[in-house]
Amino acid sequence: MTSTPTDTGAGLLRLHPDGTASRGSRILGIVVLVSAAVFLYVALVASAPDESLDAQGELVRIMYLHVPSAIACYTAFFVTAVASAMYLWKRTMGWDALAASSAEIGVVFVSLTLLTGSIWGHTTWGTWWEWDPRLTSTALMFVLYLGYLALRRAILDPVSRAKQSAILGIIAFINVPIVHFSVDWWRSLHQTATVASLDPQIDGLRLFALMFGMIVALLLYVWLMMHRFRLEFAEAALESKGLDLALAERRAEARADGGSVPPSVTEGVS
Amino acid sequence: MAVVLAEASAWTYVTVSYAIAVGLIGGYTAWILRRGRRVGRQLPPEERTWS
Repeated sequence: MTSTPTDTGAGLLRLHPDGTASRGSRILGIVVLVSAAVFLYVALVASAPDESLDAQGELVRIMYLHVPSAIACYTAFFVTAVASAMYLWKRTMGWDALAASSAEIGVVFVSLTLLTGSIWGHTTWGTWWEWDPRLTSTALMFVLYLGYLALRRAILDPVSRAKQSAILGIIAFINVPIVHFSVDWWRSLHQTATVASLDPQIDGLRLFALMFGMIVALLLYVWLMMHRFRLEFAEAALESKGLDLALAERRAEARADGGSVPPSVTEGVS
Repeated sequence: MAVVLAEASAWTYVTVSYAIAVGLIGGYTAWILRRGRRVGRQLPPEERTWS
């Protein structure tokens, strides 16, 4: 099935006729791009290296990526848990699509957190990986949400898939506060929160780079969600059309054979 | 000299970290947009409620 192209807007606001963009997502995309460019300038050029007592030197710049990506993945998994709970309550597929989209974006951000954390750990602790409470619980979070995405691919029935992944989406979120508070609850190689208290351990442009990085990461998350949710919605609509088409073909075959339509073919058809 | 080497090494780690971030996010974004266009092409315009 093909559609008629409906080009709208001009210049940077021009929308692809078939894509998942809207005017709002295009404007937010430009805001994200400009903010990301400003962030890169502040993080890599304008801010000074760390020369405090436990000096990180230039390596402090990795923190401006590492912490915002961790905050973005916490947010993504929180949205997955809330949308999963809403699905179990309302039973509407929009909540399921929201949960799935957010979980996938969360996995991208947690991958970035693990990779940048490993590089930072190698330079400051002298090891790429340590079975430390924060690192181990983060790795567990990564595996849990990969499992969530794998479960979604393994179940063909949309209703059963939505229900089972909603349950997993809520259970998996239990690990998120464990990841966050692991540095306070157990003796950890990982440093404690940098800006959680009223007396942050950094200041000036370094603090600005970190806070601005968090804002950019959250804006990026929202922009990715707009596109990913629409993609999920479109895929669900096509899946539903495909199922209806297969059922109609099966019914036509049954009629052509002169037999009655089996109950399994009529089930769930409205 | 040792300080210069240490600084250069630190910048290598910083550069690799930022390159990974740009690559990962950029790659994922490209995948979403491309897949969105491919899937959107199969949907009639009236079902693309966002556009």
